[in-house]
Amino acid sequence: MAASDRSGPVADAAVADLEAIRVQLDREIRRALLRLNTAPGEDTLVKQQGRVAAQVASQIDATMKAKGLKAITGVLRDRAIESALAALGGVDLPVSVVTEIDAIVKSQTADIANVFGDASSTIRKAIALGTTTSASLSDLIEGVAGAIGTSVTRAQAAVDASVMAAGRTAVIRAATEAADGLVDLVYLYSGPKDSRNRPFCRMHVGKALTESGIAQANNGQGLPVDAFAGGYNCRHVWSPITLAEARRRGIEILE
Amino acid sequence: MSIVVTRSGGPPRVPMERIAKLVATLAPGLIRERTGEGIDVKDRPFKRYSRDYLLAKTSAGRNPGVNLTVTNGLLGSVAAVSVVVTEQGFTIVIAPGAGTSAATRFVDGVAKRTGKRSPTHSVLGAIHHYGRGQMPARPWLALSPKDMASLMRQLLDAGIAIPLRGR
Repeated sequence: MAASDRSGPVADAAVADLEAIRVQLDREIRRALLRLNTAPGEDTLVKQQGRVAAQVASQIDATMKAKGLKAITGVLRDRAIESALAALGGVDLPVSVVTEIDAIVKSQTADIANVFGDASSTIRKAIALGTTTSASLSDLIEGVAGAIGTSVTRAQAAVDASVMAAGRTAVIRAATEAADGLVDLVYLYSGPKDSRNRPFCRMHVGKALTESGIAQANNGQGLPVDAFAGGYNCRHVWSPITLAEARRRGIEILE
Repeated sequence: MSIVVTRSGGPPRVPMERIAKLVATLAPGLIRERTGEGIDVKDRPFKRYSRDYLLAKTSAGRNPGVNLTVTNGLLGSVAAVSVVVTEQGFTIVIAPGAGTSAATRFVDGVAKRTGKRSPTHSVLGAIHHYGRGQMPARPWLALSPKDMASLMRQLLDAGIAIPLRGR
């Protein structure tokens, strides 16, 4: 059954939070840069590079601490739970699924924090490039804004990956529960087959895995295959199908 | 789309709620797989993509098939959004989610994230289903006759024989 990026009222709140952070960072950093550029006694950006970079990095830290991760974590959990609920057709979530989702959200939140940690150094590089190439202040500001935008896009990808992972996990748990004692199910590795596929996805797409096959599979990224399929930001999802139907259709089954 | 089951005769061996959960588990994947293979709700191939779109899509290394897929966000979001069991049977509503994916654009042979979000999957799904402007309708959101036959076979695998109706 379904997988991944579905939602409701809470749906894109995590993404909206990230966008709000981007806007705030952009505004504050522009202010910092403009203020420094006009400070008396200092006439070039080169002299101020260290100070600019330090200020920018502290702005990122302050903004993230003030309204970033905490808000995102809460919304992300709601969103992931919602995704899982949809996968279960609106029935109550077993405690085990909630626990798994909490673990996914925790690891993904760490990823988002890392993204913004990386942003600090990316923005320092943008400032260094702007100052050493004697770019104009507006070019420098655009460069920094671009670096912030890239970081937010990466953080959005982490949010998407987290929601996808919760959906995949719930699909397998829901299917296991629905089929228990009635019929044997396998899980079709479903999604696009193209030159963008990772080796793991290329090897599995169009084939079906048993639950133990999924547990043993290794996507090479250290991420659980039931939740993350081929890895971070994977496009593939699980489609449950009866073992007998898979055999009738000639689908290869990996145990 | 929805699947409706009306019970007749004696009580089923398997409780109706369990049958409903099994149908809700199996049906979305059938829609996803068929659509991903470029087949519409009448088991016919979708209308072709425009030449420009096909060129952009294949240049970016994406599958040239008419599969309504770039990020797989739309098809991946298809789920049983509602399962209602009554004394008479059950009704399951299957639909794409109301969430969004990262919007992408094909630029210089790469599908790049624009930093924006796509329309909600439910809206995107309706646009594909009914068409818009020069984009032809590619009806995908229903169980095709072959999907329905597969679903019935899978229920029989579970020892369940009931009449299903898709609409």
